[in-house]
Amino acid sequence: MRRLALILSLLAQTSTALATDPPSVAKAALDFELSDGHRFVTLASLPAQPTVINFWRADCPPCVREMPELAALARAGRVRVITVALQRPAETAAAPAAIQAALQPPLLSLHGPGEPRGLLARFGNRAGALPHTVILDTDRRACAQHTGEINRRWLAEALATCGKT
Amino acid sequence: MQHVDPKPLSLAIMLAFAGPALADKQLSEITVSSGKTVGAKPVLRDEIIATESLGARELEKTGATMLTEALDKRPGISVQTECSICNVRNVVLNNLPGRYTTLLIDSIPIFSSVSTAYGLDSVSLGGVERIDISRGAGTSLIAPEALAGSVNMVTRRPTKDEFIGVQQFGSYGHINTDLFGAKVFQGGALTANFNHNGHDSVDADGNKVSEYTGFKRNLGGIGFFLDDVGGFSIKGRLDIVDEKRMGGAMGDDYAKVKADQSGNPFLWSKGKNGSPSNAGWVTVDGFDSDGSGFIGDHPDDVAAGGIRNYDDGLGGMSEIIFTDRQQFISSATHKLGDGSLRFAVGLAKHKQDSYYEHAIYKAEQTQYYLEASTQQPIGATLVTGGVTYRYEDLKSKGAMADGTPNDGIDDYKYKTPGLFLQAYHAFLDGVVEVNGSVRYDDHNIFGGITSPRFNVLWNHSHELNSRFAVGRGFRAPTSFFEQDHGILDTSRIVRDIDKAEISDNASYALSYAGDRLAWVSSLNYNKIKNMAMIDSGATDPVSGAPITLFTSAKKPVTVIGGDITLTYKLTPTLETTVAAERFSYRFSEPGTLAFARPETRAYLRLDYESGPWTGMIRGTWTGPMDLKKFYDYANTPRYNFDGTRKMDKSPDYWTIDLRGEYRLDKRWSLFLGVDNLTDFKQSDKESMLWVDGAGNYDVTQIWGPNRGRFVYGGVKLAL
Repeated sequence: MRRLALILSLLAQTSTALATDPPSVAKAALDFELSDGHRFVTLASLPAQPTVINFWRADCPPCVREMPELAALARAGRVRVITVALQRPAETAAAPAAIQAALQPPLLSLHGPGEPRGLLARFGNRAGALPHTVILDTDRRACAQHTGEINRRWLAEALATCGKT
Repeated sequence: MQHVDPKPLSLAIMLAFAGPALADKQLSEITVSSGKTVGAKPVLRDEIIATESLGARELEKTGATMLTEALDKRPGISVQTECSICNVRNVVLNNLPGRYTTLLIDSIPIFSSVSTAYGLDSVSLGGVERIDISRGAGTSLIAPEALAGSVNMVTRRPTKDEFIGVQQFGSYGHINTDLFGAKVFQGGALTANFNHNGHDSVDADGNKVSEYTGFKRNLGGIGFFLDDVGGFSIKGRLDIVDEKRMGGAMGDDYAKVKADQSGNPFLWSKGKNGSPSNAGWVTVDGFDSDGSGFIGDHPDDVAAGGIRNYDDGLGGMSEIIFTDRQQFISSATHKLGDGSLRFAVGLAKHKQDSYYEHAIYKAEQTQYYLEASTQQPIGATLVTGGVTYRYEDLKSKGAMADGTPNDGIDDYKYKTPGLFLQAYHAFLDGVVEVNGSVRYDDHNIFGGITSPRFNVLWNHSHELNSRFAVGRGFRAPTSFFEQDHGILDTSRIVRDIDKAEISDNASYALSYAGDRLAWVSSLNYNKIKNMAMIDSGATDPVSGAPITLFTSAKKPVTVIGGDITLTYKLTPTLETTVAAERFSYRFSEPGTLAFARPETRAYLRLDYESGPWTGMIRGTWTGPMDLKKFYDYANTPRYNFDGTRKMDKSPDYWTIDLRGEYRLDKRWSLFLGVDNLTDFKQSDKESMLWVDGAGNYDVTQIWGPNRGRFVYGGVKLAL
């Protein structure tokens, strides 16, 4: 109980410093059509559920660092977690075993297009910087996003913020 | 946790700390995705605006072992061979002459004249993260002499210890060994790479004169990355090149070939339209051996239609080039205010010891490049300003085929201090991005030259954008070498050039990047004024000795082209690319566009990737070339050895390449590939050798592949 209180206290203290970026993407429902290696997956075809979408590369250290956190979130089952690798499958296959383990279901691991400019811009990242994380509400509208490394606290706060909208 | 505002300008300012080569660099907790493949969005804040980018994976998939192989067979980009026996190769952008393409390593220009000739084959792909290609004179602020564009090789900063070894064997005695190692330590990394590449000479038509030049090449390099030295992030690399190549005579016994100066070891009757005699070839107009003006008054004269015998031994038909190069480049960036400060240095020593059909040419080229620049946000505008100093000289020693010394005939020394200023601004919340820049260079020979450029990027939607660019570049003609790669059998060079070559370029590109479909189409207009030309057939009016005139074209040369590339992901594992390009050439003076090039090319490609399997098949269709115009038949008719006329137009042809790779596990992979699967080679249709009416031969009737089917395979180890 004390531990929980401490976490809540920390969250409260850091809430202003760790404010989520305002979503700069359109308020319309977002969608994509990306490959999981076997079929094309569209967001619209998935059951309505809050969704965390993370864009990453295996040679991007902050991307790799935050991956276990995303995997833990996926396993918790409250939200859907989708990772979109902006590399070819053979390149992500070279990632460390811990990352390969993190990419297993229930996390949905997809690969982005060879030219990801349009995809990234649609999800609020025109500059193409990685890692990039977007949280969608049940209507597939972006309610939080962050460019740069995320952590458990950011995810918790962003999901809480999205839950209020 | 870092908190990052994703707006383009603020990111641009942050990313500026990483220097001009931005993509895929770690910056604090941000990595910028290059994503620069087909239809890439130009990054207008950069000093070099890439129009295409090839990542390391793409380089690997093509099976390229050297830079020239990596760049070939892409819309608007090709590699042109300009000599059938020495295989000098140029990287051609927008189908402009290869000397107008500037090679940079980590944004530092360190190749010119002699090194651009044979040096480009000797650029290692080890440790390269990607190659950015910038087509158009207006794309590079750093290299104004890049009248056609620039090729920038960006090295990779390792993030973990690694070792990559590739051993490849192929047809024609080909062997290629690539080793790359990296050691990462707190605050930096060291890299080392080694490449050994060898290939036998190839004679497909059986006349004992090679069409594909044999070579042995050893490259070595070390690189360093220091993340924080007094606040500076420093990177650099030292590369050493040692290459030996010989074409014409087969084999690699260089001393024997040089010593063999008489007799006829070749079979001139072999090959398409071979001579009726092995001893020599048909001389259509007859040969006046003593220049008396009469045929028949000297025993060596040959009557019209007679056979002119060859008697120059192995050496007379051979070119042997030894290249020895050392280069060092380094750059350092430091946070300065809200922007960055950058210093860059490049040094290169390039030696060429060459033997051209009995003539000797030994050149030593020195190049320095110094740069200090800063990138600062001023209000909402990102401003880049800097100064550069470029130095290059060439010193040569040589002798004509008869032994007459001609030391220093193409010596030059260029010193060019310059300064540049660039402003980047994003309007309408990044919908429209504008980049304007100007640089001024004070050339020690050609004086002050101003070269502006202007780029606009309009993001119509997230997926669709337009880019419009206009720019000017200038270039000081260097050595006659770049115009006619072989040492000319000449007593002296008359330099009648007082103006730099000037290029005006305009281009428009419309690109779309969807999840499964991506396409880009572009239009390019290039106008080159004062194009440098060589007339190697002149004679000294007093002594009668052969001389070479180095002059400028009086009329501009215009090349206009368009291309479109479409990529579509057919299935999760299969992607197709369809592309085409069309160019028109407006030139009237012979010697300006001195080598044939097609008006149309088309490309088809399939990429497969599933589990451990990776495959690629590509077909390249090359349309007919107007050989009659490019090779100036009007003034110099060209003949085969049997006395028939050379083709007016080359036939169109396909080449098909394929490569497959199987990943055994995380460490080991096997690969197998075939280049030119259908074994199409020019020598089956027309010899690359030609003679004029008097029976003087040359090695430049080139329009098609100089090597047939090439099978290769190997193993890769990645730790």
